[in-house]
Amino acid sequence: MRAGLRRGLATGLAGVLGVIAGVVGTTVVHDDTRRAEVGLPAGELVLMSGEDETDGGQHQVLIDQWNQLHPGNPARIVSLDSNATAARLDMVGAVQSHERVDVLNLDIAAIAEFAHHGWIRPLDESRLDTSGFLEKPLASGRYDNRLWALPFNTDAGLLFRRSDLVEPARSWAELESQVERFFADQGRAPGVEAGYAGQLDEYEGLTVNVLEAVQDVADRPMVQDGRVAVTADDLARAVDRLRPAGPDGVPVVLPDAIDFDEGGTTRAFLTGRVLTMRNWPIAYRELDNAVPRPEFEVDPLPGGSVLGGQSLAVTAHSENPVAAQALIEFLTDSRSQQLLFQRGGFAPSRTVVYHDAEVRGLYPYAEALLEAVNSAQPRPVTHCYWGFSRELAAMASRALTDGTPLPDDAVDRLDAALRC
Amino acid sequence: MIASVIAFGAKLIRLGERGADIADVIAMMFTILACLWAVLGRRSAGDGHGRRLIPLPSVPRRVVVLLAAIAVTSSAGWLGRGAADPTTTAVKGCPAAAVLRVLTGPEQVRPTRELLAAYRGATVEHGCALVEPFVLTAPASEARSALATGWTGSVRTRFGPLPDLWLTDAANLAAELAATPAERVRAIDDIAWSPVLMAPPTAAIAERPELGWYRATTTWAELDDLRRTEGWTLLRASPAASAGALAATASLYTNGGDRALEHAIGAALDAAGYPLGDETELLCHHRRHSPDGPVTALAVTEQAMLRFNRGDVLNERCGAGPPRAGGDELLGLYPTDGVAVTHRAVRFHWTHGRPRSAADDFVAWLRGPDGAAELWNVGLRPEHGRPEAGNGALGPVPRPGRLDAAAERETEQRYRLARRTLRVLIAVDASGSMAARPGPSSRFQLAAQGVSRALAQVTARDEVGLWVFPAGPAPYRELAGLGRPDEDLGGVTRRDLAVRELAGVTPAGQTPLVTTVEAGLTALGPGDETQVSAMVVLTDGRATDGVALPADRAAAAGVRLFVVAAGEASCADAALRDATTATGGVCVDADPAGLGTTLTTLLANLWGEDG
Repeated sequence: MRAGLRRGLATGLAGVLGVIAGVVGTTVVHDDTRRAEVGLPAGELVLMSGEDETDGGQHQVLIDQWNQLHPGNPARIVSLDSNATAARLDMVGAVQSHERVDVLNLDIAAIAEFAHHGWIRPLDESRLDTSGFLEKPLASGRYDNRLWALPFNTDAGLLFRRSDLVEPARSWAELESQVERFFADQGRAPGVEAGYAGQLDEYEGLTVNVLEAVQDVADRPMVQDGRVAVTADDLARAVDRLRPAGPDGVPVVLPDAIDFDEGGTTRAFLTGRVLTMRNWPIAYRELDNAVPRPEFEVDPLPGGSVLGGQSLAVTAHSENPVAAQALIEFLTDSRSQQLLFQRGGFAPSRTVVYHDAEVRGLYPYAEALLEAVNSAQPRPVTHCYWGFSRELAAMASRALTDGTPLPDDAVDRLDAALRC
Repeated sequence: MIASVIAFGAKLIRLGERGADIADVIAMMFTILACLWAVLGRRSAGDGHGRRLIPLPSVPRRVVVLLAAIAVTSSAGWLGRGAADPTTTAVKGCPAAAVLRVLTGPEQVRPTRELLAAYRGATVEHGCALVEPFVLTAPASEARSALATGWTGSVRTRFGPLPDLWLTDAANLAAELAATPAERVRAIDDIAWSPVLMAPPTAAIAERPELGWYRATTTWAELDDLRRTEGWTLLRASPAASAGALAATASLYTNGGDRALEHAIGAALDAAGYPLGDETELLCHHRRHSPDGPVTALAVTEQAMLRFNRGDVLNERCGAGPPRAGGDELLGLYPTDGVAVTHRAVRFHWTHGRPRSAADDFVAWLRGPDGAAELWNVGLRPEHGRPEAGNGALGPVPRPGRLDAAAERETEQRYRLARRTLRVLIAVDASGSMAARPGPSSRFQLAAQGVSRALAQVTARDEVGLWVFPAGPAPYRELAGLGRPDEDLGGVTRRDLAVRELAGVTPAGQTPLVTTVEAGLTALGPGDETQVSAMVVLTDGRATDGVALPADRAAAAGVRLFVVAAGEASCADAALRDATTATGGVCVDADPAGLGTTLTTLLANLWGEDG
């Protein structure tokens, strides 16, 4: 009861602070003046990040701005593979090998692992003003009661829908019904092969798709308190939902999706093969710029999303952690966040950007995105996450590819993986 | 006791570095207790019944032993290089595995994955794997260049993580890298080898007992005579894409007649729609479409033959197949004057810490008995270890030499002069989406840079042309018609004209892909025994002028169709995949930022040049 009261008060206070931060932040966004932080220890800074996929390379644009303001701390980006699994591994190799790097742009699911193994250092919270950040992306940077990273961009799965062919679906069952109705009258769009495509290739994307399906089926997150909190039946039903239909079934899931990552899904949607797709907000720009542009709208994912995104952390072996933290603060401030969203399509981690009139004009789905982020469930916070993810993706991929059931001991194996 | 004291010191240092947790503290307490009892409670001397240094309470011997054991086991995790110990593992979970990033060539991706999976399994202690391997791939010549520059710039986004180890069958390139002034290479080791052989179906020999002696006592010249006498069709992968094929080419050229040989191989590849790729691609097609008619013999490495016969996964696009049997499997004929492909492990100065230890341990494992067994399992003959016979392979055979750098260069040069000439039409997408900027340059600018680099590599023997699509209201425009690259076209060579005209194009409009390809196929005309006709299309969009590229029409045109797909275009689209595969071409996905380099590599492979 008392704990509930405390949580209620904390939520209320956070809400008030959020509103205040929003008002203050709005001023920051539109007041395009930036000042260099003085007194930083001099020295070059190296930022390691997955490949920048924004139009025009907005990461570099921001770094150029930093370099103009901080000639004593020139920063450069070491670009890594855009694949999250490869990028995480390269970063682990970099810290284990003491490669020269000060700031890591980590997938939020990797923060716990990097913090647990002492590869990154806690941020100096006495210097930080974290008001104005979205609550969940900010919380994803906390581990062991310390703040290790600030959110560079956040992410939540969205449902992109061919608005000329289907209506919004509020649940998976509703989506299935719509697909069934659509294929009962196939003459409407002969090129359409299926109702839905997600990321079902064997990688981190598949883990996310399965986690989302599980939380919808079981009505709770798959992992709670470090243990698998759903039954084998929940897990099986979630994977069954993602199975491509047999020859006689309603083609809800596109069979080729078992080889899709985000790019493959986008192309299937663009080429008119599916009625809907699950994808991240970054796909919006590609669809919007396509020639010809498909008629589409963006809705929250039926059943909700898990939280994605990247966060910036200072490496444990950085020789200039103070300047490194200053760079992180610069890259996550409201102005930077607005630029990344406006020009790059990355979902911002600051509330104020979603309320900006100019941004809303450019991205009509900003409200849906904010709703999706606010309701997204965090991925399991554990240093064992990547082993768990590998295990889940491997067993789900095998089940989807071979058309076989999950192994009988699936839950036990995932539980063991969570304890690494 | 000494171990406990060292462990205690190590713990103090470690705790100072990263802060203690409960497991550390418990382990440290046990260590301290064990030390105290060992030092202070020790009896003075003699028969063991003398006075204690300090009158500590008497403790049963088994308790002391238990304390000491706990102290030692809890110390092991800190003393070893990330080793897992049961106490620490039970309380804290597994220690972080050391990352091991291994670079290899496209042909060796699958065998390397298999080797690393076995090695990772061998490192498991108390349920914890101590190594987390990762395989990245790059063609050998590009890998050599990227490694020489320290794997910097866009290399890391294009090929992947900074490698800790390069496992390569390009032994001479590895040696060249080691000799570069930048001193990137820390160690270089020969790991394994694979002899190059001629492999007809077993039935071709089994049904002719008199041919049995060819298995191990013949020369390449005699094998070549046999092939001609028996009327076998000879197939070989592209020497530009495969170390094994290059080695095979050197051997096949011993009889001379380079050009006739290349024309015959080219005609055989064309006739059955084989791709112009590496050994895995050649054998993948062979597995799916073994031609009827005359016996087909392949000049390949023993490793490729073994993996084909066993039905192994050959590459990422060619999954497992049924094992070959009943005379249909390939049988290795081992020439006594042959060559072998040498596989080397190259380690780098830039790797430090645990990845360095992991790389060193992996190489040591490869050179030991367990590694030797796994090397044989992936089809290679270990430098140290006894090979087995089976699956078409002979048991122990004398180790042939390898091509040295000079012989390799000479073979490459002879191949370039002997191979069929190329007639290549490059068609670049200039639709509106090509104006998108994945970085400082637009997709179109990146493509133009790639075309420019590729055109610089066209040899004087070949013909090349350049189109863009669309061009205003027209579906396509010819920037430079097909012809010799150095032909004078009014004061400017065709090569320079193409580059100049391309620079003046502004991307706009839709993607009339189907119309352009159909027109290109007609303009090129079919290839023949002396010439390869190829169309190379670079696009980032879906066709806006038709449902799909007509695969049948493309195949019937006698032109190999290659597609570099980026952006909205994808080789996952059945239309692109089918049309390219049907012609013996290939569809390659490219990151928008890697458009130019992918195009350059693809064309370089066609021209038989380094990328």
